[in-house]
Order: sequence, then structure tokens, then C-alpha cells
Amino acid sequence: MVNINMTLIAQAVNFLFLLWFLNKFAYKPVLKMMEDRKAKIAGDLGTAEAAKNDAEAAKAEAVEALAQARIEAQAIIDNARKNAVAAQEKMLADTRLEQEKVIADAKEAIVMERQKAMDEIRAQVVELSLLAAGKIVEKKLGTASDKKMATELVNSLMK
Amino acid sequence: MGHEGSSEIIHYAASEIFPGITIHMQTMYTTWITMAIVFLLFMLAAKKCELIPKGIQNVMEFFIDFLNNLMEGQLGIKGTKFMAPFIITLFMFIFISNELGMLPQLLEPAHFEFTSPTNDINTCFALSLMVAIGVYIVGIIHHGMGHFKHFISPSPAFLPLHLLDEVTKPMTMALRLFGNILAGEILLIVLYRLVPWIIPEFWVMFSLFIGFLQAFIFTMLTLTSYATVFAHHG
Repeated sequence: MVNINMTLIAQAVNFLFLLWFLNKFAYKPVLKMMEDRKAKIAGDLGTAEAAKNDAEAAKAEAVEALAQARIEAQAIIDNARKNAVAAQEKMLADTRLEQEKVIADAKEAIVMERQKAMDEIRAQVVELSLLAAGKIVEKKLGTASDKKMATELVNSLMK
Repeated sequence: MGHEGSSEIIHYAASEIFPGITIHMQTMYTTWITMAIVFLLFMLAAKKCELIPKGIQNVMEFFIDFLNNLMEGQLGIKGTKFMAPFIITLFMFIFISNELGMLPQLLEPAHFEFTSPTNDINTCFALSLMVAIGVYIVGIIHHGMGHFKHFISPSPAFLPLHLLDEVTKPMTMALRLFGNILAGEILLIVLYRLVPWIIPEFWVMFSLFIGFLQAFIFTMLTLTSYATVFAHHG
């Protein structure tokens, strides 16, 4: 069963022939194809990686733009609110000023009317007091000096 | 040992083709069948070689890829490129050889029977000696006479051990493969004689696995032999 003979050499020759034959005709295309595939997969993976990076960059950009837009919108809203508040305050101030002016005018008018009324009353009182005094002394007092005296009297009384 | 007789369970069909030159013809025929199968498998794969593999190309690429990974681990990228054809052929040859003996026997054993070429000690020694001699050839190609430095590393005291290793390594490789495959076939024949149905089929299944395993072991041991040559390169 264990008999070493020339079969050993023949088998070595057989194997070497198979090796030579396969190396010449079969391995090159298969190994080359496997290398090509490896290279292609590596290339594709590289491209995919680049595309992924691009997509991520675009996404980051979009997020940033969105954040920027949000900030700007907030600024616009704040500005509008500030303007509205300012306008309201201005309007209130104007109204207040006008109101004060109206009140002041009214007060002035009242004072003037009062003065006028006082003057009129004063004149009436002078007239009446002269009339009354004339009646009392049975003598018509109508001279300018009498009127002046009566006016001074009334004025001193109504002070 | 000695000349086989009719009582032998395994027939090698030894014939003296020239005076004094005996060849085991059974081993020759099955080796040629093995070579044809390996050749056919690779030619089919190479013929329809496409970027997206399918069918037989896929199967062959699985084996090549499997071996490439083993080689890259042991020999490095440079060593793999150099050794790939040898290692792939070696593995496929042993693998198909081992499985050949498990094929159903279609003809009467007197005419022809499927046996593994690796059930012949000559085949196993031919392969292991080629590996051992190949290590010297590749070593000298890559390092010149510097290849022999590893015999006295780490110190000259190791020379006897290295020399013993150089002899025992091919012997153990050959005997391991031979023993496993021959024992598998003998047991199969015995089982067929004892229990003709079902039981031997389980042994066939196991032997198919053993066939792969032995091819793998032989290839791994070959790679470790060559690893020392390519290890110097880093």
C-alpha cells in the first residue's frame, strides 16, 4: 500500500503542468478581474464618500441659512415691534401735549372770561354804588372825580 | 508494503511501463481527471469573467478570495502576488483530489473506480516535496544565499533542529494527507461491505468535509513554510 516509485515524479510533473497551464490561461483574467473589481469598489466607495460629504455640506449650509433667516426674521419682528412701540409712545406724547394745550387754552379762556366778567361786575357795581350813593345824598353824583373815587373804593373792596 | 496483491482493499493498478519504471496507473487516471476538473472550473470561470460575478465565477472567486486572505495574512501583499498561482493550484488540486474518491462508483472496480489521487503516498510526497523544494527556490530567488541564514537563527546551536525540521515537515505533511484520505476511503469501502445503505452516506458527508479540511491544512502548512521567506521583506 505504501510503495514509493516513479509515480511520485509523474505526479510532480502532472502538478507542475497544471500549474503552468492554469497560470497561463486561467488565473490572469480571473485575478485581473478581481483586482479590477476591488479597484472599482474602492473608487465607487470613494465617490460615494465624496457625494455623502457634499450632501452633508449642503445640509449644513441649508441649516445655517435657515438659522440665519430665522435670526433675520426675528430681527425684523423685533424692529417692527420697536417701531410700533415708538410710534405708540410718540402718539401718546402728542396726544398728551395737545391735551395739555387744550387744557391750558381753556384755562386761559376761563381766566380771561372771569376777568371780563369781573370788569363788567366792577363797572356795574360802580354804577350801582354811585346810583345808591346819589340816592342816599339826594344829589346826583356823576362827575369824573366821583367815578374815579368810587372805582378806587370798589377796587380796594374787591381785592 | 511491497507489491500489492488482489487482497488489497485499495487498488493502484501498478504497471511497469518501462523496465524498472513502475507507475500507479489508477493514480494517474484519477489525477488526470482531477486536473481536467480543476482546469475546467477555472476555464469556465475565466471565460465568462465579468465584473459582477455569477455562477461558476462566483464559486471560483470564493475559493480564490478565501486563499488570498490566507496568503495575505502569511506572506504579505508582495508574497501573495508571487505565490498566488501556486497556492491556488495546490489547494484546488488537493481539494478536488480528496473529493474525487467520494464520488459514487459507477463501474465495477475491476474496470475503473473513483479514488482520490491523494490516497497514493506518491502524490502526497510529490506535493510536499515540491513545497519543500519550492521554499528553497523562492528563498534563493528573493535572498540569494542569505536564505540559508535562517538555519542558524537565533544561534548556530539550532542548526540540527532546523535540519530535522526540513526533513520532518514534508514527511508529516505528506503522511497526514495520505493517512487521512486513505483511511477515509478504506473505511468507506468497509462500511459499504458491512452496511450497504445509509450509514456509508454519513461517512461520505463527513469525508467530503475532511477532504476540504485536509486541503486547507496542507495549504496552511505550505503558507507557513513560505512565510519565513517573505517575512524578511517585511
